[in-house]
Amino acid sequence: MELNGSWSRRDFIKASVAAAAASAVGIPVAAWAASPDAEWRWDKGVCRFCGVGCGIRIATHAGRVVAVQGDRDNPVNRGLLCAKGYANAQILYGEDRLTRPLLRMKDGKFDKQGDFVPVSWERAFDEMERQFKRVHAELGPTGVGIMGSGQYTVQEGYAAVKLAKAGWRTNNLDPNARHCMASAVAAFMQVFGIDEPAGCYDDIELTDTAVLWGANMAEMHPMLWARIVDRRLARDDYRIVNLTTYANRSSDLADDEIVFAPGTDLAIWNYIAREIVERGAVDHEFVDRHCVFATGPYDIGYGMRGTDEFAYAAEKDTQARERDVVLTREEAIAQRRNPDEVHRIAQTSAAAAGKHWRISFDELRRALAPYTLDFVAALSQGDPEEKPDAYRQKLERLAGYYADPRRKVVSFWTMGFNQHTRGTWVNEQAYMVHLLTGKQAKPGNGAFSLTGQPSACGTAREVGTFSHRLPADMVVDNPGHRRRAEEVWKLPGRTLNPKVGSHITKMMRDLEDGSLKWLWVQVTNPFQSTANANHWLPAARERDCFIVVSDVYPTLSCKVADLILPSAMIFEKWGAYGNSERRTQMWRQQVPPPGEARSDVWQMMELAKRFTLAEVWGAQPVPGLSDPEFDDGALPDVLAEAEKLGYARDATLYDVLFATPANRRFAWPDPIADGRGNCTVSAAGLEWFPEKALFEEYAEFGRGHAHDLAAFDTYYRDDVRGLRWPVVDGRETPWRFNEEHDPYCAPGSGFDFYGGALKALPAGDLDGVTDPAPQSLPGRAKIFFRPYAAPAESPDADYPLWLATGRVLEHWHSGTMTRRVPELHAAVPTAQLFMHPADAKARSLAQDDLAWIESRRGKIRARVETAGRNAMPRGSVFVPWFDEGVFINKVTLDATCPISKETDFKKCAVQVYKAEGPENA
Amino acid sequence: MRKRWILTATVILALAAGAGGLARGEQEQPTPIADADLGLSKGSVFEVPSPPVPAVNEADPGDLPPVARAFPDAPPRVPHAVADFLPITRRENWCVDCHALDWTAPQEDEPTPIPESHYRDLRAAPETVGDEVAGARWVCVSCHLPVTAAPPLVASSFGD
Repeated sequence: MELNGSWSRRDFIKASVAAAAASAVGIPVAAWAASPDAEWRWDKGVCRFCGVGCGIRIATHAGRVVAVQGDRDNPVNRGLLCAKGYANAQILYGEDRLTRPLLRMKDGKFDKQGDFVPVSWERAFDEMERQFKRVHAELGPTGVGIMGSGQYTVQEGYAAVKLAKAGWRTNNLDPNARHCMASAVAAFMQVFGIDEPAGCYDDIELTDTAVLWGANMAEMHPMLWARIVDRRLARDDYRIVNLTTYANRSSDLADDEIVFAPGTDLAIWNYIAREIVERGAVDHEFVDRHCVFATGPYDIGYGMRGTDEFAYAAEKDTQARERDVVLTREEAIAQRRNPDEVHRIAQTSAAAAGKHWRISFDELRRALAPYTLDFVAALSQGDPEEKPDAYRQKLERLAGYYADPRRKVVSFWTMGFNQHTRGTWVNEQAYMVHLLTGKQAKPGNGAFSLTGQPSACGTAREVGTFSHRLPADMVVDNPGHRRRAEEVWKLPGRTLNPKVGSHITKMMRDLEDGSLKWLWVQVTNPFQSTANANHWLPAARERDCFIVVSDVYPTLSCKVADLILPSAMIFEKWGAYGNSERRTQMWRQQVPPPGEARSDVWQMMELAKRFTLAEVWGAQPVPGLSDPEFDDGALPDVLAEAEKLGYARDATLYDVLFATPANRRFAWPDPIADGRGNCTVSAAGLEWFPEKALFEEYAEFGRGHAHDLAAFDTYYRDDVRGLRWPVVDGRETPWRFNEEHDPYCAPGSGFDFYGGALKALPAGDLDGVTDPAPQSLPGRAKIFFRPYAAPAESPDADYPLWLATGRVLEHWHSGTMTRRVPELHAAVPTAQLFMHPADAKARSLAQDDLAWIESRRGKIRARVETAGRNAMPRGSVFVPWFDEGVFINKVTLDATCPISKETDFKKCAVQVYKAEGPENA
Repeated sequence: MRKRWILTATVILALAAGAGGLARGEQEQPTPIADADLGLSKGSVFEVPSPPVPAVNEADPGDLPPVARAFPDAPPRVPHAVADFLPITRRENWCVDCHALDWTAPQEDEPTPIPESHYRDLRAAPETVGDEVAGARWVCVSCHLPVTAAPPLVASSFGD
């Protein structure tokens, strides 16, 4: 990574720096350390950005946020913040904040081809209601949907679940978190039967080894990285290993950097597991008492559409792999087939990709047999310029860390695993190795899935804003779970729809094929963030559909919306987030929102006033619904039952779902506010406290069910900096499933993987089920065998380069907040095309040249970067996705993990060539 | 510095006009806003923009004065080029080499000294001022951003 001649330049600079500085006309040094104004009011809060959940202190003065600091009392970050964390105050104040609803109009009427005209909230809701009811009458509940967010507050997510699932009886509610950690969720459910990590951030200080798998923590989780670096500098025996597909900033402080070929992480895990088994490093006592072995089908497709009806001609060859796949030689070996034969495999298990069954330890051992060092090193080496022996040694060293019973190991991962066409598998492989070695659910030992968004855990997962979920890990297609939700929500039986709704990528596909025509986008920017965008932009603009986008700034999604609603931002409303270590943190509203911007909770409650029960709780068509408790294709009329519960037919969803007698008992003003405002309350003219009421109602789902949250007021105590659930008898739980730390473990169990989902399994061998009778496996975790499988699309002669997308430290997601902070923008003003200098040279490209990046799906332009923070191996390019002017999701592939439905943003094939024209002059 | 920012977005003006009209109680006809005028990249979503060459700071240390902070205690930004001083590794940290100066007596002709706070281990020993920069602060570029000439995409009213 060092530039030629940098040493001499450095020496020169160092020698002359004092002299140069002397000549500078500087700001007086004393001015740099101005102390905060005595009139400022400070309060605790949480960072708006990533899933780390750093504690901040917020200063307000005269109705404005004026400063932030790291919160020294918060154990997550102990007073430190990254560059984005310090921008929390500034993100509110871009001058193009949305302050009024904007509706596309011509001649005073809504017109999809019109320009945006400021309208009143009343007019905005009128149009939303009219369009909803038009679509609902035509298509029923499946014709409408909400795209939500891992940046929703807990209360916003809960309000959305209730409005969509209980009110509108649609399960078409899915968050951007589907793109972010759905694979982690699916693996947690399959392995442990309950979602979210066993461990906590304390593991960083307690472990001996931090292994990063597709997690560039130096940029994406900088304050956790600070904790890891701190330990590495303090302890000679601490080790950091960075597994990645290109050299990045996390490599700079790693002991070993392992650059692997895209998708071969699946093979590396199996090599490690094979070493553990063959070296006799299995912790048999732990495994025998607490685990079982399992596997599932391999022929599961790539989560693409089942039809190529909508595919461009150039897309059809990739699309065809959804139906059948010719195995590569390496796949054949990895799946115990003869590599010298042609294996054309019909992807017959695509619709039941999550099916799995129990196998024996001997079967696991047989499955791992092909994953020798020779095979895996040759398959997985990602940098063709690296010496093979050096690469092999690093793999062996890594296996040694996991196999050594005296060494504690934490494996961290984020998008490299989750955004993967075998994302659920590769998550499960991490647990496979940690469970085999007994290095799981113990202080300093564990496989630790990190999240990317501030409340991906707290809201998207725990509240359950996914198309298949209900609160507290419950799912819509489980009759017991539906009944429990109907009981808490006081709904008539069979109000809830048992058919899983459309995930977020499918909602885009539904827009394109006309099966979804009314869409509300909240706290996210899906038309920039969804892969293969060239399909979804014309669907939004040219099909018969009505798209509402609630946001704080005019985003790219706003540009394709029909109605834009101005929202309150984080410190302009009350809220709670839950971070990656199960820590729930709350903040108070600090300042009022600008203009007519309103909280998302207010927006949902107001729209709910426009639906009577008679309009939504009558019989409804749901195409494809098939459930023993329901007639095929239909939801029943539950109005008579509703009347028995005391609801009038003309009661509104606002009355029934939100302003319930129980909720109205949470009075506003509340002493917890300490004189601060509530924009939801003031806009709606309430005498109750919706955010508190919604939180307490939601918490009812988890209390007593291993998801216990503390009381709302507890989180606002001066001595509390968030609490890690389950919070039982006032005590948080740092390590779950470990009897010493988790009150839900059975006494005497030692470890108890008590999660209840998917715990009744048939038995079989590597090839399939042999005994279909399900056997219950209480208290046990599953050690899965999952094979290596090639990605959905790989480089070829026409598209010879791998493309991965991702983030940079300075920008958050689609950049709508951070690009409006002048300091962050100046640091990284545009997304660049990172590529190897030799790959650039072969295309006559030099640093800063304008290049086309083209896939089967689309093409965009970006500036070439051949140095900088990422060093690409030959054959791979990287483009961050924050920049709407470098719209890389026009190029990416919308293949998903077939189990989790999470898109693989890390692997598709592109060509790169020089852009001709004046820009390159 | 903020005063130099230029409002280029017609949408801001249009939105401000709409809001201003309300405040004055006048019956102004609001100017319709085309979707192409919204957002950070003007133009239709169907167009493919040509991104600019990213601004880079090529100044040597000492060439340019320190830059005012956005608010007190915000991390100071780096007014000089950093590419030659990266990467920061376990053994090498050029930022610390130059900036680890006596914070009690900052000199105008010297680099900005690393402050006392950076010598405290806020997790394990917050009361102690150590001899070395705290390990958790080692990766300077996590917090300290480089200054470049890239003009803001949108003006900010922060601090007004």
